Amino acid sequence: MFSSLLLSCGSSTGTPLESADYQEEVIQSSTVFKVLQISDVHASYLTDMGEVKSYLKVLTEEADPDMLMLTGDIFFNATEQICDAFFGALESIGIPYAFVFGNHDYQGLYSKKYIYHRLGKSDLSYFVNIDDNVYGNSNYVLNIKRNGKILWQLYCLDSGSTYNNNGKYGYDYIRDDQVDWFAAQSEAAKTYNNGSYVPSLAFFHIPLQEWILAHDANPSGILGEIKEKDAWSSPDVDNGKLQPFSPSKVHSKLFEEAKLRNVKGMFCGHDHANDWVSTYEGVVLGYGVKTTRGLYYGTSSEGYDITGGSLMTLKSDGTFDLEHIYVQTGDLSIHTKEVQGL
Amino acid sequence: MSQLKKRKVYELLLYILSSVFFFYAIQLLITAYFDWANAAYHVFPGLIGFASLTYLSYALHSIFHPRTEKSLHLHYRVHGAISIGLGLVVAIITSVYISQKIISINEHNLTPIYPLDLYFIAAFLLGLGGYWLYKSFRPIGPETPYYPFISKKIEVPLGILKGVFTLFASYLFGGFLLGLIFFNNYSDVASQFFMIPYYLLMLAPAALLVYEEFFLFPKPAAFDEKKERRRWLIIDLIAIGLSLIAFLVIFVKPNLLLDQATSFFPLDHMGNIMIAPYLVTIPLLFYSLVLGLPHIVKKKEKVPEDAK
Repeated sequence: MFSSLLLSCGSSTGTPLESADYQEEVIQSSTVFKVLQISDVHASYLTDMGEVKSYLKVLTEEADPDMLMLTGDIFFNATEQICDAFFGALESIGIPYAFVFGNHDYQGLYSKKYIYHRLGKSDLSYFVNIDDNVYGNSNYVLNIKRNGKILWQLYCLDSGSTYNNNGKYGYDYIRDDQVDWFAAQSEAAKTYNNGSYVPSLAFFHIPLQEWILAHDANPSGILGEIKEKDAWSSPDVDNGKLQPFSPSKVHSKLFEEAKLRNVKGMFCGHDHANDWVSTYEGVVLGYGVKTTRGLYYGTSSEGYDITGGSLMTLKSDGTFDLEHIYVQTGDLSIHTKEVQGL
Repeated sequence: MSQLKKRKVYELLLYILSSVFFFYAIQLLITAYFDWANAAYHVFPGLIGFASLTYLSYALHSIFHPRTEKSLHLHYRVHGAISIGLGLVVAIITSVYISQKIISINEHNLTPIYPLDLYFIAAFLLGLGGYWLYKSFRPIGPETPYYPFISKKIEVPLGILKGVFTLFASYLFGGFLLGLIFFNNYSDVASQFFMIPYYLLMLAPAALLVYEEFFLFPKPAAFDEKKERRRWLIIDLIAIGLSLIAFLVIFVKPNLLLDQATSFFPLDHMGNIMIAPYLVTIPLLFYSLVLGLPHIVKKKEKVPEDAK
């Protein structure tokens, strides 16, 4: 039985900060730990927060998660008032949540620091605002513990926003110092856990270029579909072929480091119409199901909206099950797809 | 205060107000653009209401600068009718959206007083439009100044250029006014320091328009061309200098605008394309040079041969 949730964060040198400063205990009555990924809500001036609240209520009742993982683009050209309204709706459900930044969360009629100012005020938020010089604003790790042993780690990484690469703008990427920070956290947990790497999941917003390689290796994947248009290309990736994925044009070293450190899965948002998941070199790489219809969304081959959430059920044997829960805007009907034993 | 000065102050006040709402209108347009088919009807009342103040600003300017008595009557009539029409549309549509609970702009989420602001705008349009329409049926006072064309060939293209430039200036000025109050509450001092040239460039186009309106139009009787040449030289050098500094700042801090200014320049961020440095520099440079160069490089009038 999971008895506590420990939060720890790292400094710029990769040395873990005092983890006791960040500990929170969550009493679990179940033998599994369930994480519901919510992504790409794109709350804006045009969002009906009452509708969002009802939607999230139905989704969380179906999933019954222990925590929510918000993987970015929760806001779109928003204001402080919209942030407050969304977090108010989310917190009324009463489930703890973690938050990682998406590219659109940085864009709005507010200072980008407003979101972590707001998250710092909430008792339900696991977000910890660390004033370090690791790139990004949401690099932290949730250590899920039971009986003094870390059973799972959930890495929250800030994949940034827009990156100025010699005068050309493009999507940002998970930087080298973040990868170093990740490695240091993983090593610290290994030491704590009697010398073995802890099974873990990583969450961030913008996919890595490895999503494309995984697709080349196994186009049908293990769950979900690809409904984005072929619109992205880079001469450095797949011979410049057009892709239905939108990673950064700069390669991140995260995947190489993660696959050596018992990372079982990596999940992102960003490409709304995709909810495709596959395995690549032993790691599950996938999109979360976009939450609500905000901005744009995809339609599945069966004809329903690819909108809802992704539920990861973490088991004590180091495997996890993945379920995509599709909630339809309007009648709030539900469809599900699942894959077990990942 | 003279009648002429009063008119300029009215224009300035309306321009400040319309700039703030023009900035909001563009924000609405950008938010809706990516899902236009679904979002257009949501943003319609706000878009038309906010943008109508910009129309009103143009209308007031044309009413204060008639070419002839006949054209002034026409301005009163046309702008009066359009303003009343816009006022009715804004008031009715806003009321329908509220009564039908159609989500438009969520209350308090964009402007602090929505939808009251739309009702104020509607009342303003109806009041001013009604007054103009009334004036269109009244005789024009003898003291009314007129500004006949001296050269259509120059004044018409300059007028169009000024109209377009005013839109750029409105957006930047509106963003500047709101940004100082709302957008940068948590920004660090160092980043704000590097943003100073951009803030100045956001303010400069509106300042140039004010200078032009208050001091150059109509041309003062005691017009000192030498002084004017010097002034335009300074204005153009400031525009060029600020523009160079803006690009220098981006060279030193490539992510400055992405980190600090997405509120003002959302297209850079959303379109993954660097527009902001060009948006704040090119219209200003172009406009200030077009207006300034004729003064700066003015050739000395040739002395007729028979006068020697």
